[in-house]
Amino acid sequence: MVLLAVVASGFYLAEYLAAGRLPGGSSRTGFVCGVIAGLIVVFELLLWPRRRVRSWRLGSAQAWLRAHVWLGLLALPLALMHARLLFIGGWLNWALMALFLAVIFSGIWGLAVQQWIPGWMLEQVPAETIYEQIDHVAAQHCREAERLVRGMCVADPAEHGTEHGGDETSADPDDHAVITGLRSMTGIQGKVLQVVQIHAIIPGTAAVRRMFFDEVKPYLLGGRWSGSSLASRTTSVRLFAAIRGSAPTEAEVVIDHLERACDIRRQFDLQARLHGWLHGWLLVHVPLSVALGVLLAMHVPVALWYW
Amino acid sequence: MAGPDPSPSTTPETSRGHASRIDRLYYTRPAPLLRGRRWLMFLAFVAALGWAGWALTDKSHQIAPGAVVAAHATWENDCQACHVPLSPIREGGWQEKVFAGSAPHPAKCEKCHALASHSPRQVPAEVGSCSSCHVDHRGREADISRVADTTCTACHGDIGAHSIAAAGEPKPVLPSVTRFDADHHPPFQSLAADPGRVKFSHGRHMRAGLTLGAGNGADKVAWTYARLPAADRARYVPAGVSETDLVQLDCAACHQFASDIPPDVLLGDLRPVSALLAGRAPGAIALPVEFERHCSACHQLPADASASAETATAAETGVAATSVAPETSAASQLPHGLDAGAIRRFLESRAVAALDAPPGGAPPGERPFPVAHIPEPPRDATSLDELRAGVDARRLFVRGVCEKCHQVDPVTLAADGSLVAAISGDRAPEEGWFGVGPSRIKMVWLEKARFDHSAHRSWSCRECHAGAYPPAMPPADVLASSPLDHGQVLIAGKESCLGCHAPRQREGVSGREFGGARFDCVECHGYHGHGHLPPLPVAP
Repeated sequence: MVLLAVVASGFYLAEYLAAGRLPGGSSRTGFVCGVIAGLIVVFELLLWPRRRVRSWRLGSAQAWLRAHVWLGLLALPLALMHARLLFIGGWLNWALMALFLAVIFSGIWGLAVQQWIPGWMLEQVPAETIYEQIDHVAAQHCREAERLVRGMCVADPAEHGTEHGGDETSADPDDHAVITGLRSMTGIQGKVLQVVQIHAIIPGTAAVRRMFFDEVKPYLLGGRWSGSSLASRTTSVRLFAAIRGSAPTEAEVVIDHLERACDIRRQFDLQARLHGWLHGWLLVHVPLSVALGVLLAMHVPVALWYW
Repeated sequence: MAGPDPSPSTTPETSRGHASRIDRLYYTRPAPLLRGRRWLMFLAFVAALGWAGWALTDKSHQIAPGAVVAAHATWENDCQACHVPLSPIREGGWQEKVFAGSAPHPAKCEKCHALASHSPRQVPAEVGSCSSCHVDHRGREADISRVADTTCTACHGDIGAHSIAAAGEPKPVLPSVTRFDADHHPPFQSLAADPGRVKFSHGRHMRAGLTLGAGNGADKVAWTYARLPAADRARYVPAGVSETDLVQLDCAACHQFASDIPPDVLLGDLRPVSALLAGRAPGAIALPVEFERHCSACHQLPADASASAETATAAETGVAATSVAPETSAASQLPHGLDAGAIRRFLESRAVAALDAPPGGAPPGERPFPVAHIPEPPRDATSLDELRAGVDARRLFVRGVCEKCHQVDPVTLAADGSLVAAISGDRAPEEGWFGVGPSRIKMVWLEKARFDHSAHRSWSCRECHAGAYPPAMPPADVLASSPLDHGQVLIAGKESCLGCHAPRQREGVSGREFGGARFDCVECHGYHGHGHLPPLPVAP
């Protein structure tokens, strides 16, 4: 690709020196560059149907993506030489070139973030889940925590009759809750499922229960969009430290789980943000590619009609 | 971010509940990013279609790469006034070679611009279309005639390989040109020699009193303004100068421009050279020097010795020549611009009139030229001999008058039209007459280039015509060496141009900056018929 770009640049430079002016799209080199760049754009656009119709056995997805990236990069100098290094006129030409540059640079941006963010996410979001499952998983975690709280924490009399009150589980030696936890081993973190025995209501845990319904549950369900102060790790540590100081030691397992649930939820928040960076560029790249294809289909016949 | 119902559950977990940790149908619900992308794709598609439709209705802005030059603005929205669909407008370009099937572009430019070809020595296959040099769509104010040097040097850089022999001519050896500078542009060939045939000394005419300096014989009497005819004095005497002062001419005394001439006399005066001036700025070239306008104030043309004595007496006494009665003065003067036959006729009529005049009577010059009737010829042999002697004496005298400024050529005249032959009946051709040939003074010196004096009016004439000025100290033996300069080209060569028409640069020692004026090919040269110039006119 680099060699092809260099060769094309050499021809372009030679034609420039011979003609004394920048060769345009109708010059020998400019025309060839334009044809190649146009074909590359068409190929780039084929990536979309290729992904939609996975049954096509036209090379691996990886090969397509590599070709998409490298040919797209090659198209940039070719298109610039075709467009007389941007010394062009005509609003259609400018719109086409603006779209092309936006598509190319959004693609380069996407390529960069795809190189960097996944590795960073692996480090920062060990509790990563499927992006589309975040709400579902977060709700699952919320239900787990609520089951634990209702089974082990004293109901606040003031909550009687509210959605927080009632339904306390009577102590059942066989009752248990399955909760999601995080475990770190040799530097690798991951989610694990834990089974916690629910023995009996722990006296003196009304504050824990109140904190769950007032702070933790809204955050687990809504994440950072809930506006909860638990979205901040520092605040979370301080709040849970305070609740530990006022709760009996037996309630430690409940408080630990609530804190872990909040931590996982924060990771989900971070994952959602990173997911936005990781895929947000496609909101620019793909729609503008569609517009580019339309205007390119307009440009070719018009240029040949009046060349 | 809506999720499943998180209603509190206190019932023991079941395997179904464990399985519900994963939403197995999540992929059936598009994520917000994906939904947004699809909407944006739709909007982009619609917007692009709209833009494409707009482009078809506004071609001048959308499709044309730029506004056409002002002269073509009438056809701004009519692309096919110049373009032919699917046919490259650059005829002869690479497109035709590659796409052999593409039809050649009809020369639509030539419907309006019928111009002469460049040279018969061009290689026909190398002659491109108009648009191969003139690129439009570069804005209203663009100068599409100012083409890049490479359009010229493509051939002139190696002119030997890009020229052929014209019909009936050998292939000329031409110097190649790659740019205008000391090394890559030949000397101006038009300045190689002066073909002029008028004897003239610019140095003498630029000196005060029009003399060669004190002690030089015939030129002892310097010219004062008082010696000029009254009609011419107003034109020559500068403001604040006495009529007894010495005449001091400057360049403009003889070299006038169309812009210097009053509009009321402009048309009539310039009619003979109107073709030469066409397409040029009013002050581009100097108008031809004319005897009646620029020389006759000083240079009388006495028809014979008696008229010469009359003029010389007036000059030596310091009395203006016009103190002589006008009709007498005019009749005693040889009209300027006569051919050999007319000179013979004029001199013969004066000789006949002299014989007719009574002794001590009116001078013979009373008969104007051309004579209204042929005087009664002498009948006897003695009178015929006197007539012949009178004609011969006048012929010798007038030849001397003409030779003062002109190169004269011997001419043998037929007997037809000769008074002497009519009287004597001798029909033999007459030898010994003379004619004054064309002056061959170039009206335009730079034949293959353009030069505009008005564009250079901020410079002194001396910058380019230093040779036309007298030396500061006239040499003592100035007469020993001819003061005449009509054989010399008094126009500086390209070196004088390079002081300005060169890249901006700084002189190494003095640090003086020079250059900066344009020096591209079309700054001076034209392509079509050598810049629309008609064939070089030659003054009669």
